[in-house]
Amino acid sequence: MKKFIARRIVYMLFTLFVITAATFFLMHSIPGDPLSYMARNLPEQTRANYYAKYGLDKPVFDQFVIFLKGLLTEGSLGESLRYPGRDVTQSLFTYSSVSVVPGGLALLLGLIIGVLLGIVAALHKNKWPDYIVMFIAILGITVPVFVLASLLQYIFSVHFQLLPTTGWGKPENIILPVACLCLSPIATYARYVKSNMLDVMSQDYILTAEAKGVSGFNVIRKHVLRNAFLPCITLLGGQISGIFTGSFVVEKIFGIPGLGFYFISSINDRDYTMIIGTTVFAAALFVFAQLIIDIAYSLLDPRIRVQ
Amino acid sequence: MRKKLVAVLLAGAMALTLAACGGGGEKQVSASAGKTVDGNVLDDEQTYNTYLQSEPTTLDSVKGNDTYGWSILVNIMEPLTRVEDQDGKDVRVPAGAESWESNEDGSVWTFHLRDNKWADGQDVTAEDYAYGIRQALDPNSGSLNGYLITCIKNGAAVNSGEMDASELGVKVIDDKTLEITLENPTPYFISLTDTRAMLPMRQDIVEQYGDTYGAEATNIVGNGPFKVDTWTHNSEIILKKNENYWNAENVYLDTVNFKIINDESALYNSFDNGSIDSVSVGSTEWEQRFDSKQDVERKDFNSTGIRFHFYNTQDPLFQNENIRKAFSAAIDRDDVIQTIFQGFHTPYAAWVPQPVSIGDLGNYREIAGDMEDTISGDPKELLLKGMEELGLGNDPSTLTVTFTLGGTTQWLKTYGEYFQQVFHDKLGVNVVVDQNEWGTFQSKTNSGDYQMAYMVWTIDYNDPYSMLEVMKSTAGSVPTFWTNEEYDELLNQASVEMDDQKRAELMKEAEHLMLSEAPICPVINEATVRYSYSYLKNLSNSPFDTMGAQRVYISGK
Repeated sequence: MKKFIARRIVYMLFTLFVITAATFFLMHSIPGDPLSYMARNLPEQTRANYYAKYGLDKPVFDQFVIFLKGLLTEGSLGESLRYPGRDVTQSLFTYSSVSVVPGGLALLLGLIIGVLLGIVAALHKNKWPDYIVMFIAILGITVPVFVLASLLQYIFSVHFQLLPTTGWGKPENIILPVACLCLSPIATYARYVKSNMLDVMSQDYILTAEAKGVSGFNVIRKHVLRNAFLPCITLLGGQISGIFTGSFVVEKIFGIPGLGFYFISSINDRDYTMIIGTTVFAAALFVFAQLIIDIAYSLLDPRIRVQ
Repeated sequence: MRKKLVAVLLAGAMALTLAACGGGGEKQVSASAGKTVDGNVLDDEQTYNTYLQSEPTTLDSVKGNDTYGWSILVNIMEPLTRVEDQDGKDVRVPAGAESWESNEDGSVWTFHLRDNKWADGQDVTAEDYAYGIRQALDPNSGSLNGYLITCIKNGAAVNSGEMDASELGVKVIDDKTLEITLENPTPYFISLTDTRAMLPMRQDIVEQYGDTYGAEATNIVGNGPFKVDTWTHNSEIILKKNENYWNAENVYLDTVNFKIINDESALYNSFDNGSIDSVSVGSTEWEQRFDSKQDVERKDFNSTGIRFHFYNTQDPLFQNENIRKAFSAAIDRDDVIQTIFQGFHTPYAAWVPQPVSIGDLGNYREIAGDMEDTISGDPKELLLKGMEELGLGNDPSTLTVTFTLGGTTQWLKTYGEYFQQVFHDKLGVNVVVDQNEWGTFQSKTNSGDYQMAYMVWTIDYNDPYSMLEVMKSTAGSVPTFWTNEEYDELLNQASVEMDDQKRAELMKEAEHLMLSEAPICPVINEATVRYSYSYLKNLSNSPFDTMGAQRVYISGK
């Protein structure tokens, strides 16, 4: 087992290195530079001073070596080029700890409601509760989040004036964002749980359990749900890593100072250090989540460890 | 793992709730409550809620270069002088400097500072202003604003690192007297005193925080009417009144909240429900919504941005003046405004924006005229003449021209397609629209890999020279590659001429000359419509006003 985990960690580091290197050279190959956002051309001397200060006048490969050195010796991703004086590593932690609040609550809520709805739908297959749940699920998957966010904002902040339009720090600030963000997980889990439950309920061992005289409730609780829920855990792994990176659209509309914004803006601004930071951060979370899932699988299923 | 996550989330939610409770709900009664200004009695609560459309990059005056940071800086820093909008006229008023004078030819300026204190209680000295200027020009400070003040003696040499900062023409005579020597007489020099390049900075604070100076609310000290209280990145900046400010008794607001709202519909929703007290609108759809709103005042402005087309004068086709003129003459500005902007913005054929004034003479545009006469003639004839000169025959349909745009929005696509149609109908040429992301656009135009392009230029400071300088042969700011010795000479004269009347004539001549050769084609002077609730008083009506929020107050909310 130890050997297995060690090997996985080596793979993980290798993957991260490849992602970092690829991102670094790709982002330097797109036209423009961190001064492009200024919407105007600054005079030659000003540009030259700026490039020299941030080492952008050096060849790209040298910049990569300097970057790697900083990362490996000091664990530093450098200073943001767009926002002078802000350390990228620190920014990642600050902003992702904001994103995780609405993201986490939405996922938790989505999971609970989604699973419940899925159960209801499965137990009432092809009856009206099933149709209602599946209608909600389709809505949750098809309505774009920016439409939903703008609509909710208009209804609750402008029309009824019950909730603040934008802002951060008060409990009422997260209600609308969570409402927007949880619709998609509700839809996903409702559909997932429903189809898995239907699949499990048609298995022979359920028939056996029923034949033994186990009550309907216990059949669902002990046999159906347990088995139907397993694939959802796999899904959850990826989604948990996603809540740290935030949502660009929802954060923008509700003025939440999360990390989602920087995934898009850093590229538009050619904020090289921030691009690398966000990419490496997202990649590391994802790879780490995969590692955990793999370990979990190998614990559950010995066949995976064999190779 | 799941249990842990739940615990973390619950803890987070609880922390948020606690933080909200700790904030305290009771309304504070302002010290200025009950005062009467212009016949209005001030409310108990003096809080102005406004907004920024983007996060300031930094509050370090020299490292930043964005308008968002500037909106904060005019409130927390005290420039030597400020511009105040007094009944529709831009007047330069004393601020950090109580008075100032120049020698006869305008090459040496002496500023007499008033007694003022930094927000932390220290006295403001001439050295603080001198240090700010040196930082702006220091090639190692990461400054983006040094170019504005290379007119200071040895400024260019210091900025390029050839000379030490001690050689700079900035001299501290005593604690309250600052003397600045210029390379040449510079008539518009006083207009630079309230730009980022000449704001004061505290050397001890800058050195204490190093690279992180100005990156957080706690890492900066100012000497303006307000101080930074909190800065939640990408969410909100809260300013509180600076009791140490020299004119604090005439600052009415206790708090200015700058909400950072990136999203347009969120911004207008915020104004609609009163979360912010005023908003500027740049399109007609929102205009209709707010025009029908009660207790809301509307104010229309011409702002200082010019939207224009520019031509690559090194391109085989656009090297020809008549071809450029043909493309300029083909544009019907009123139709552009109606078709693309639904009547918003002002049709504009000149280069210097409408609100710009020249010294004490008043509005420059009124003196210089509208420049409509710079391009005349039938577009098709101009085109055919140009084609003949270039030996391209007489069939415009053989020409294919690329129109390069910097942006990928639907709006810009419509803009490109409109002109595709116009140039096809009026000139008979084929136009290919090339939409690029902004960075790519800059890279393409700068390297001359384009024919005709579209851009916006906003003036740096309130003098026509700031705009005209952009087109000098050596500037390269708008990459037309157009050069003209006569134009450069006229501007060189204008840059040292101390008589405003003569300067106006020189600049008018230069502007006329440049537009007649058509390296660029101005199309629009940007307009803004500002809506504000009627309880919000004393907002400035000038785009050049640098008073910040110190005159604003709340009455009758």
